[in-house]
Amino acid sequence: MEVQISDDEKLFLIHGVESDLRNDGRSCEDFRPMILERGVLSGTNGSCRVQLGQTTDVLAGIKLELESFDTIAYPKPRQPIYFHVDFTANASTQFAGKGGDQYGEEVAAAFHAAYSRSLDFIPNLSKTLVAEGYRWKINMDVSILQWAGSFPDAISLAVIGALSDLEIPEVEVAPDDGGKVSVVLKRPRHGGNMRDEEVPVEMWKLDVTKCPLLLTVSKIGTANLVDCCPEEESCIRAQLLVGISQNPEEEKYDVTCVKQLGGGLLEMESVLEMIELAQKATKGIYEALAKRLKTEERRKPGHSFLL
Amino acid sequence: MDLNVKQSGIHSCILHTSYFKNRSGKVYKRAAERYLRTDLPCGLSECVACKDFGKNPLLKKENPTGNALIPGRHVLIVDSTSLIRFYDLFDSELLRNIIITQTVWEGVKAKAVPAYKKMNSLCYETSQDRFHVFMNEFHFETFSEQPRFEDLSRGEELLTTTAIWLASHWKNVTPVVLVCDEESKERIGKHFGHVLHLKEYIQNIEDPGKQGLLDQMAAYESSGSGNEKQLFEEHISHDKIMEGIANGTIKRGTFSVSRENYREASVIIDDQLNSWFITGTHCNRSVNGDVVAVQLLPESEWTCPEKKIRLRDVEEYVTTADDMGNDDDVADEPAAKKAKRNTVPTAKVVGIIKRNWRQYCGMLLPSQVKGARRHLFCPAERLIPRIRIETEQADVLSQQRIVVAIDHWPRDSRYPLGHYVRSIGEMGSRETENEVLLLEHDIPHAPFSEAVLDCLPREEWEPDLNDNRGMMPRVDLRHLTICSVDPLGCTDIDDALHCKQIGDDLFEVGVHIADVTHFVRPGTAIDDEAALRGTTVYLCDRRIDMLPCLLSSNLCSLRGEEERYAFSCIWTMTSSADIQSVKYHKSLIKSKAALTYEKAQEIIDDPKEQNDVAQGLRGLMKLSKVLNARRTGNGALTLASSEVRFDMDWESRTPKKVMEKQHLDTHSMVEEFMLLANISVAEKILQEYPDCALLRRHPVPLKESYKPLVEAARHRGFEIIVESGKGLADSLNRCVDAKNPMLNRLLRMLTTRCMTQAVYFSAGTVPVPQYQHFGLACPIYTHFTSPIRRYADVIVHRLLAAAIGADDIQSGLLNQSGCTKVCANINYRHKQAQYAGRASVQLNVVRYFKGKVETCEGFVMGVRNNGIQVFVPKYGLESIIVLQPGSDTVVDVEEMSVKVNGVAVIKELEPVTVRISVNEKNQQRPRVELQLMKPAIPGLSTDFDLSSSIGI
Repeated sequence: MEVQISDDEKLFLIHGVESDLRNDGRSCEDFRPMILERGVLSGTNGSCRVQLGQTTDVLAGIKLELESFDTIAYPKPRQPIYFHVDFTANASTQFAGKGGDQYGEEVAAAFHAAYSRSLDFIPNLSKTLVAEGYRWKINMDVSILQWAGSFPDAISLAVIGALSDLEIPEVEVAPDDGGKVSVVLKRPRHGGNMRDEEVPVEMWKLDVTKCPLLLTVSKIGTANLVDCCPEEESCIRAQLLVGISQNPEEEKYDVTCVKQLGGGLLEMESVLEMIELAQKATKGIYEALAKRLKTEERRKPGHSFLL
Repeated sequence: MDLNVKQSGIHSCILHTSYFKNRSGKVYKRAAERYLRTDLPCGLSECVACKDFGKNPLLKKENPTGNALIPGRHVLIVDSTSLIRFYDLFDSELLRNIIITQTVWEGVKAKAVPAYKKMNSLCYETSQDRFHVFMNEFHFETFSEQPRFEDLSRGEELLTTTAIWLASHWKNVTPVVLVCDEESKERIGKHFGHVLHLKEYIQNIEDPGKQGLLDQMAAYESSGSGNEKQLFEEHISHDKIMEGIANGTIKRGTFSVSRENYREASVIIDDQLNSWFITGTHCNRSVNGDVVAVQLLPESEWTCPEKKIRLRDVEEYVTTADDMGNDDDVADEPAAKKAKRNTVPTAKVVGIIKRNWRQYCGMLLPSQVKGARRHLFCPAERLIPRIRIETEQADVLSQQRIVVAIDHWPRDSRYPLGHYVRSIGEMGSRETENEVLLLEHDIPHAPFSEAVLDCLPREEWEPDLNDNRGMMPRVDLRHLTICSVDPLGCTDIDDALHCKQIGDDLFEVGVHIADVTHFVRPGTAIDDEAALRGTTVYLCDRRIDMLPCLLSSNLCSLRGEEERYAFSCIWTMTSSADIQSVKYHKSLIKSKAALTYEKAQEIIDDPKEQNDVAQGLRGLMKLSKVLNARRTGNGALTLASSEVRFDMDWESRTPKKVMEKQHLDTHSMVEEFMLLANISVAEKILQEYPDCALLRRHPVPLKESYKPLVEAARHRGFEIIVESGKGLADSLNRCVDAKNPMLNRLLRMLTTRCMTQAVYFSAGTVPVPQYQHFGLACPIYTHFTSPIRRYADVIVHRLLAAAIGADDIQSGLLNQSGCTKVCANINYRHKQAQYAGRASVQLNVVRYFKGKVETCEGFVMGVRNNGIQVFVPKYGLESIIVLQPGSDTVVDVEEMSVKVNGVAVIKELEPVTVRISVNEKNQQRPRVELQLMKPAIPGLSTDFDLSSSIGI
């Protein structure tokens, strides 16, 4: 988003930040209020909407796909989550048409990197490989509805939310022609009188407690900030995208990826400082997230989130 | 609802999600809002709360009789299993005041179409007030996404919830749940008191009429097991098949479906033509022509062919075929097992090695359910199963011939699944039907391409004696009196003859064959095209040439009074037809006369004709008689066929009348010399090229294959000797019955059917004794005499030309594998052309009989458990007359007769009188129908055409 501010305003902002006081009243380590809501799109297999403040708004939805693949070409299990990020023109006119495509691809690539070891940190993800040559492919589609800074943070929260919301059908595998298998949805209760299609399917969920968060940490003047608003982003010297994953066994927070966004130079020392800030901030977010995922009450049907 | 205006009757909104897998294996989630309502009628006529909501028919009329198990007034709630299995029971007036829930309705609709149709008519088409459909899934009290009774199946749960609510809704009427499965009764019984087994309920009806219902129920109980989901066993993997073939437990062969019974098939598993029998679901989704892997069943499971005519269109005639595939195929399976006596090796298909699927012509079967998307496609070729396709434009397509391709055949589907490819045209039009015929028989019939036409010489081509290709020069034979004898209207004359006395008891006889290879050079586009087409195809109203018209009807055709290139084979022989010498060379001839068989016969018979042509013909005739006697003496068979020819009205291309082929002496005269030429050439090329000469052989049939013939003759009191060709020919000659002059011809027809077809092959690919041609009783044989219409002859011409040095030896000619490849193709084309020709006759028979009825004589060619096969010689028509089991009519398959009150009235090979007409009841598929006139037997009804490979 384009923000037009004068040099004097920038100077005012930088000086404020350096003394740990931001224009909207937060300190450098404060986040805007986050709103996370799951099950917002009933047509998807899992969905989540995340707002940062009132201005950054991200929607993630998952479509499952039962995919058959060549076992010779892919002998080893592969990471089944695929990201696609779409910037709507509502977020900024610069994304109209194909304007947001390249940017979207960049962000999606960052998430692919952060989730490349997803089979390790989501313990039951390997269950998506239902049989030799068949797997569930998880297509994660993210839409940026509104953009006012820090959208990777919002996306990473929405992705975790959507993954926790995802329900995957249990399947039964029966042998089929030529040594292949046929995959049938598992319906634990008999249909009895009904059409087979109407009989409920048994579902399972992913364990998302160790999924990585991606936080943006920005350097403005000499200060490091999290969750920048657009005015602040126009003053940034350099920005890092830090992927951090919780390691609950050892009460540690592992860095899964670090990527610089935009231009600017950073000294090694600053990088370490920024990562440290990210790790510190993550702890709070993980706790809040876990609480929210546990206690969230679903909307009743007939109540759209748009209302 | 926060922001919604309260609307009429809506109680709440829930989100209803379901998951399903589509045909291509994709899994979908379907999410839909469902508005639960408060204003749905419960159906009870006296219910005050629901009286404004709709028609409430229940208990308007009390149950006529009480039931010992239920005190007082009650309403029945049936489950879908009862409806699916016993839907016919619900016709009875004894069962009334029945609630069908929406869940059950949908379930029945999805699972069993016949039951659905019955249910629909009971509820809505006959206004009897016996049924009420309760919309339980839309009622706020009876539907909930969350399970209420975890131990029940979802269907039972919804049924129970409904029953519980109705029980509380109605004060003094008891809802009773009827199920037809003990476990289900027990489970529901835990939550709801009034659950009864359907049988139990009927047993306790206080009315004598219940016995009828119980009997009906018993009949059903024995018949159906529940719908198994997977109908077929899975195919084993390719590696396993190869392993099985290697250690001998699995054999590979081509799957061929019986022409009489589509549920039976056989697979020839070795070179000795031994075959394994396959029946019912053991066919495991094989389609005629597939190369399959078969495994022998344990001997205890062997069966034998049913001896019953089962054609899909016959069954359709008897019972209306069902679109959704819930018909009885599997149910009456055990019938075949009754006859346990003469079991044959029976096998099952365990895998498909190579599919022989192609695109099929045919038509859609009229659908039973209006506006349905899924339809059954009926291929024109009856050996191919019905194919299920999905289309939105069924209304348009139902009037057309269409092409459909098979995609796959899943384990749980009775029919293969396919898709619509294109439409050929309006059903019934001449062009469309011909096109179907050509496509179905895989006959290349497109116009010749530019590249092919570029290979042709100019039309004003002139012969040139100096234009030599090999060392051996072309001989000028223009001075000889050569003439050709052919059928009327023949334009592709490929043979001509001459005969000249050259000495005392010494004759020079020549056979001159059109020199096609002079024009068709190897490796050119025209040669490739001819090799592909393999043969010229003759339909009743059309000829599909192997070579372009300029060659076939002009430059190669040995027309009268025109100079033409020929390939001559010239013998010197004595009057007793002892061959003194033979020579082959290319020549230039000028035919003196192009005669028809009839004309030639006239000339020979007319003593006034004394010119060269007449003299030559008489000489030929005399020699041919000697040759024929010698050949017959060797045991050559005279076989009969059922072929007829149509006299066409070429203006409208409709058949005017039918002509049986008349046999003249001139026919056999020409035939003898052609055989002689073929045999001579075969000897020459085999001597020269013992490992790549193209020959033709006719295998000696197995003794077992004569069984139908021997049996049929035995019933007529004749003995057939099958030990040798000579014995067979002689014993056939002895089978003459003064009372039944046709008998001999019919037996000869049966003989033809016992034998396999003659085939082309390359010398060196089979042992020398198998080179023989059984039918002609000669040790080797080939085709040399019709290069204009057969590609085999073209190859033989090239071989002979190379052998005598009249032409270069072209590359690829002397190559055994190449020759084998050519043979495979021409054998196939040859067979297809034959079938196409026959199908074309059948097509025209239908057209001929349109609006006509004729009574004529037919002969019984076979007796089966459920019908007789009748052959009408006049039209070459063979049909089945279906026998409906009657009280005093008995079919004795052993004795091949039909008996009425113990007296055999129809016997195999005996004449019967039939009436032929076209049945146009089905506008899409008019067919020739035979009706038995004499002897009149109650229960013998119409026919089905068997003689064509296509069911029209």
